[in-house]
Amino acid sequence: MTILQVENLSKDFGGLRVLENITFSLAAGSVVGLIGPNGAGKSTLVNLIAGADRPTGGEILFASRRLAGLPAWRVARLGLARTFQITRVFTDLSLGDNIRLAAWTRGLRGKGLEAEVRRLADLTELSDKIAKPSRDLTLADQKRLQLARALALKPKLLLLDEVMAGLNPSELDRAIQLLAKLRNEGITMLVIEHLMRVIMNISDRVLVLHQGSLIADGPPAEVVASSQVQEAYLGRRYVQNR
Amino acid sequence: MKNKSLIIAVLALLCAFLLPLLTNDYIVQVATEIAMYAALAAGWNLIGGITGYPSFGNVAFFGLGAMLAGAFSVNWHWPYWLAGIVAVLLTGVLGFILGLPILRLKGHYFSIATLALAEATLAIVTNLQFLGGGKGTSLPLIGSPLLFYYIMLAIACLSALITYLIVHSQYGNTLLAIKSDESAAQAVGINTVLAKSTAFALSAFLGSMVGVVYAIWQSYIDPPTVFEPGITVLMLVMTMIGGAGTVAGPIIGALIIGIMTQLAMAVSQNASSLILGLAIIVVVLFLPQGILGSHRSGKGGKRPGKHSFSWRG
Repeated sequence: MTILQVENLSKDFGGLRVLENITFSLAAGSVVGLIGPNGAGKSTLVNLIAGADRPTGGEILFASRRLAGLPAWRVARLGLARTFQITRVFTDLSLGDNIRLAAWTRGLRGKGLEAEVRRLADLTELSDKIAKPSRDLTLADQKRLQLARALALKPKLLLLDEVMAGLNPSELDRAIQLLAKLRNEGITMLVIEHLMRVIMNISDRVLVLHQGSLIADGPPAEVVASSQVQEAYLGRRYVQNR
Repeated sequence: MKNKSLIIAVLALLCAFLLPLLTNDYIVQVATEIAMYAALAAGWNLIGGITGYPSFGNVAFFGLGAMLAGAFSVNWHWPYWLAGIVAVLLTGVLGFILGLPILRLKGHYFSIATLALAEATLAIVTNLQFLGGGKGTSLPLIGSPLLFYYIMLAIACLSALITYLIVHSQYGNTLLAIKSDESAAQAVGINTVLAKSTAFALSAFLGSMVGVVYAIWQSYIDPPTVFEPGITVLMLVMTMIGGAGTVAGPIIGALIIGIMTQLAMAVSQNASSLILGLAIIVVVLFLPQGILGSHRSGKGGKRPGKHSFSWRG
């Protein structure tokens, strides 16, 4: 079953076309990697899908529902959650309140709400910092908090924008384990990532964006073998080193 | 900590309640003004301090409350309490409706729009004969200074209570989330337009309530007095001094500015403006989070932002 269908999606910023006729779909329960060089339009694509920005042309269907024109909060309530490339936690709230707020907008109240906050804090290994002001968290913890907050919406689709960037090797291992856990729970994920180790580890399929166009879409091994992808993003040395 | 705050609040309220028994009429008059500004600042705090949208036009709601109540009472011969209730409700609804477009603006643009809102409201009210036009409205002399002191005190307490309930609710967390990062707030499913407009309406509601009581207290009101931009500046400065986004901040700020103004006026009539200017400089340089904000920094949990409010573009 297809959960997300993107058809001929385009986006212009003034005279600059940053996305050109992007078409792809995501099957429910799948994990799809989205890679490409800086400026390829990956974050713009996520912003369009999440309702943070409006497309210039094309269509986005989420669970058979048109998303075009819906504000971001309505898109979120439909079950489409996201994280941000540069962490955006609610710095005036504690870690627990960040998660609690998202679960509350989903409609949870009372004991159910508190149980969900604890469950997500446990899942993201943040239980011991639940009362801590979120502005005092490390980058790795803020990234995990963003993920916990997104999961509090009980998403059908999770858009992860460079959730691993800036993490040290041990933090990275834990983050990969966490994504694998989510994958096992059946959450559909679109994962933007520069770290190919992560993409190769968790993705069923990989999309490659280059200068606003989709240049490859297929299984990870097939995509990294593509000469066009090597030329545009990976470089030939990546394949030789594998 | 909670118990300590409660004890301080009860003691402060007791002192305020007993004040007229221990002092003279002049002090009661000053205390009435302080309570009035504490309520106005608390109303401003809802939109400026908690939500992070620094309004420069809240005086419009104070002025509208005063002028509408006066007009309903004088022109339509309504009992003043009824005129006051209708004026407050109308102003609250107007605040909500105006908030829908204005709160789409951010940072400086929002502040300029609210400044324009107050000036436009002044111009409209001045040219509406129903509202008394430029010549103002005279109201019957009723009540005593003591009665108005207790009414203003009650409104200040109500404002603090409303702020407390908001700050300790998920709605308050919603507003703080908007202040932190509006895009991220939308991404977790928060209808930010509705949340902000509701905060603006509550702010208008409290400002208008104070205006209604001010009008009958003074018994004469005219547009230049009740739409004086300096009133908004006082709300803002008092909130900043006390601690934006806190419950007691606006009250502490009103107390400090009120007492300092009286001391300065004992020296010279113009010295109060000088004191206000110095207070703004001191707060911006040394206490950007205000007295309560600085006191609570580093203790964890919910607290005001690094800066009391941000000028987000």
